[in-house]
Amino acid sequence: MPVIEINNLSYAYNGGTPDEKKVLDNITLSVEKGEFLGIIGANGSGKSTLIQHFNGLLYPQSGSISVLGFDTRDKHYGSQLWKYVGMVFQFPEQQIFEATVYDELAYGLSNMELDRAEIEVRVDEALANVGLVPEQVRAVSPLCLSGGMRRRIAIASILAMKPDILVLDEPMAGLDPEGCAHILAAIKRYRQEQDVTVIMVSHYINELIVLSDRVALLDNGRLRAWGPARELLARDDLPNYDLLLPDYLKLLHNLKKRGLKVKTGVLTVEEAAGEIGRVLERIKC
Amino acid sequence: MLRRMKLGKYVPGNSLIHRLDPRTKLLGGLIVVTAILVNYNWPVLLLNAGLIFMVIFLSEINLPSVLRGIKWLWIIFIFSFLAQCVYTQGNPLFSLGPLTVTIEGVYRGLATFLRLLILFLSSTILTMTTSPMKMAGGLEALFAPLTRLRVPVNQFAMLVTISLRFIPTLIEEAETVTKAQKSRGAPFASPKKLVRLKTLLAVLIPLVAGSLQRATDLAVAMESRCYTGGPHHSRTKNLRFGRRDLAALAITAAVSILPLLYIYCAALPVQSLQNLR
Repeated sequence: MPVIEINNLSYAYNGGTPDEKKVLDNITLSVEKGEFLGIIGANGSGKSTLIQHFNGLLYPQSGSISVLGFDTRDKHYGSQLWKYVGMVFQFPEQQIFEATVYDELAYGLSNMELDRAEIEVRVDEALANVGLVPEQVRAVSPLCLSGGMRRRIAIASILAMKPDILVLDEPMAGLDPEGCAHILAAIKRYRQEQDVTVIMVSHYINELIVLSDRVALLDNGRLRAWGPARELLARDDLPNYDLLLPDYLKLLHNLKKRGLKVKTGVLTVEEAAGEIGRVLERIKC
Repeated sequence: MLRRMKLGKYVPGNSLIHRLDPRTKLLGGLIVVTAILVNYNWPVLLLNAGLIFMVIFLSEINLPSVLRGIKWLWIIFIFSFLAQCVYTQGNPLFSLGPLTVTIEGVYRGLATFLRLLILFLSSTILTMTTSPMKMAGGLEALFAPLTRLRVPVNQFAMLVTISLRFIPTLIEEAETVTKAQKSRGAPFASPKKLVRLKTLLAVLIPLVAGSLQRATDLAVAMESRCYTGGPHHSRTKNLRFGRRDLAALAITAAVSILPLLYIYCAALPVQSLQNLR
């Protein structure tokens, strides 16, 4: 059963004025329960606008979207949606405002009106999940921590709310490899423990395609392709969409363009190496 | 919600008015505003109003969009008009219960309305046709003589430029943080005032923290490009006071100042006669 169903969704900023800008154009998409959906696309392709429809921050101007079986425009339901759909914004460390790490993580939880004991348990759990030691950081002021640590705390503050659907907008942008690894590990761990749906927007395509069950490709507000990562990567028009493709995919696409019969639907460097080896063998024969 | 802050927002363009030197526009605006504040005779008001509408026409900005920006200002306009109608002594026009509307009142009400409209339109058209950077440059150039009095005009101009530059950034950031806190259930619409206040803090604190960080970064960036607070050589040279600026100022002066001079000079002998009596 799909947890998110989008039908012919369109959205424009400054609607009705001369500087109207259409950012989403007739998008139809659905996300299954427990699925990992990756969303890729160039800057300004409408990714961030799309995901803000998932927890009712934006409402469709035309078309419809239902989340967990309800229309987001439903008055009673829409205002409660944040409890079920956790949204990690781009550079989430910007939203930190409490004096201690504990309070920061407890903010969403106390808005959910959980009791103290439950909050304490969840805070520690979430901190451990993002690779921090609860006893060390709980009482620290978040502003004293490094950027990467603050990012992990901001993500933990969403994870602590145990959302059924976790939405992440570029969670690894601007982090060093170690920071990226921590965040990826936290997402994987959360998925295993909770059996939740994860939707992730990212420029790090090589990380994303390995994790994703399906990938959606946005370009200028339109959904150009949507399906299993392998199928999507096999498309010949992929290099036309200003994506930051990993080098091995670029190489395979270029080889194919030059007339070699290679499969471009590979996920990792190893697979790409195998594919190239196979083609070389064939040429020798 | 913040996206609707459109009043007086700069509209890029290449019209005659856009191309005028910012100093011309600042001075011209100052002349018009002074003229209508000093005197509210009909000829003065109508001439100035005509001038402003002419400028709007020349700036190729569509008038309805400017007037739509007035929105709630209409309430002030109408209220001041009604107040003037009722509270001015003079020949009664008609009565409504205890309130008497006088002919003089209607006249003054209309005059007040026109003055407010001119004030609003002249400032709006100034900011709509002048980019913030040019505006800051213009202000700096106009206040330059004050440097002799040891007023730190350059620093002041830099201050204005920087704050103008960061307004859109701050608005954008406020929107994002608001959305992020909403996603954690921040009760922005709570019926309790105290709760709403605390929720507001959840947006203000990250904004202030972010601004301080940005200010530090900017200061370092400016210092590393040798900014020491001295005069700003690169920008003022971009201002060019050409022939069309001279013409524009001449027209403004003719329309706004000459009638005033005429009125006051004509009034002088009358006053002296009265004094004699």
